[in-house]
Amino acid sequence: MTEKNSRAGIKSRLPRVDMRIETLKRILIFSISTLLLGTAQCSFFSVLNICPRTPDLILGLILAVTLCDSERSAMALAVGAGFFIDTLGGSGLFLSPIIYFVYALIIGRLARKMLPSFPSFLLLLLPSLLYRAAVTVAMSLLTKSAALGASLFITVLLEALTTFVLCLPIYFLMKLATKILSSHKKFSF
Amino acid sequence: MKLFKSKAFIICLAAAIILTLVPTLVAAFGGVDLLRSFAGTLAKPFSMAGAKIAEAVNGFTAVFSDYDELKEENEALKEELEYYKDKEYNEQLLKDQNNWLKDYINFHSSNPSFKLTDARVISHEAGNYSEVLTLNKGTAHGIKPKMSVVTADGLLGYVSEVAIDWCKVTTITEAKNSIAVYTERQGAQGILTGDVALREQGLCKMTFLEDSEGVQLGDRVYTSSGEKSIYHPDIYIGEITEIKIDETTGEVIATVTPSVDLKENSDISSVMIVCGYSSEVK
Repeated sequence: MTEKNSRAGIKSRLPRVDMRIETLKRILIFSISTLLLGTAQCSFFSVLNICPRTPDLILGLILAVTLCDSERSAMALAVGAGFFIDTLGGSGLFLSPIIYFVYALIIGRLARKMLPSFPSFLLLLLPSLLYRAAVTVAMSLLTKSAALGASLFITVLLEALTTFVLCLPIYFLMKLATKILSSHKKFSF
Repeated sequence: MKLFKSKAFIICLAAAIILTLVPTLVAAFGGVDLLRSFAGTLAKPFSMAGAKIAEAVNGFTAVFSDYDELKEENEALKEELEYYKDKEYNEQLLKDQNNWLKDYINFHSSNPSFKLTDARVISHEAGNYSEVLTLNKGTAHGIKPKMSVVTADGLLGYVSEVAIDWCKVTTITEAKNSIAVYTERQGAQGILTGDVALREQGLCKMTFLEDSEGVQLGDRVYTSSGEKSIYHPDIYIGEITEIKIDETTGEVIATVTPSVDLKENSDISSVMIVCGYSSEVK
């Protein structure tokens, strides 16, 4: 009896252990991605002369996670990445966790009925860039760093352009990451 | 709407609010957020690496992106360099001219009766030393043959040939020169001539001296007045550096070292021509 009970107990625990390992793997991969992309955004592209404006790579990361993994993962990642971005490059107002969280919510709603594919990623990049532009304008006005005008428009435009171009490889990186996770088979190009 | 009621959403929302409010409030009150400090420390090596890579990439791309700017800067620096080179050259020229004018004034104040014209040496006769110099003044400037030519140091020679805008000067070391001279100390009279052997050393000799007692080593030699003399009187020539007696004739011969260094006459670039003599000068 005791043996039977113990065997049944092991069998019921196995999927839970697998789930935990999977979750840990996911946290690890998303953390590394956030660390690398956040550092690239705040320490590399912000200093690079040939890059006219700093791109928002975290947007691309959240979008790719929304499509490749799940809306909930994207929300958690958005909060963590927002905090990390504020740690690296924020000053005074640390609103990035909220900003990215709201973005993850919006993009999660929009991506709900979309296939997890590259065209979907491209399509969802457009509202993402609009959201980024709105945030940039709002933050510029809030911190009084720029007035509404041609220079702000150019800034928003260049930011959108660099974000669009540099976010494209992120999709493929996350595709590779989800292959490593190999938990979600639904992902396809 | 299930999402908004889910545990994950509530946790994420709470985390987002906390992670937004806590750092903002801590920063507003001038405190240090431990979580942010930890995250910053964790990201520091990556940030430094990112910044270093960006710096390296910037350095590499600057070669291409700043090419026009660098070219313009280079041109501007070249022009500036040329300007300073010219300035330095002109300053040296002015300095030389200033020195020359000082000498000119000094000579004129010690010989106020001389009417002087300045001239520039435009060529030297070929050879290890030059006895004949060409000056940039000629008949157009009032220069006539047999005019005395001096420098601030003393007598140089006489004008032996004149053209419209140039003339030639035969120096006192030339053998064909024959100048009536006297020594300052004892007033010994003699004739200063050039000598082929002495010319190489830039020296000349004083002959027709009455006796060896009339001259001493170190005596200063000046031109003396004479009816047929082409030189103006009292122009300093040089010093007696050697006295000897000719064994065959018994004549006293004094070797004179001219004050103008004729061995290294390349240094002579400007001279003065004595164009006249004013007897009414006080």
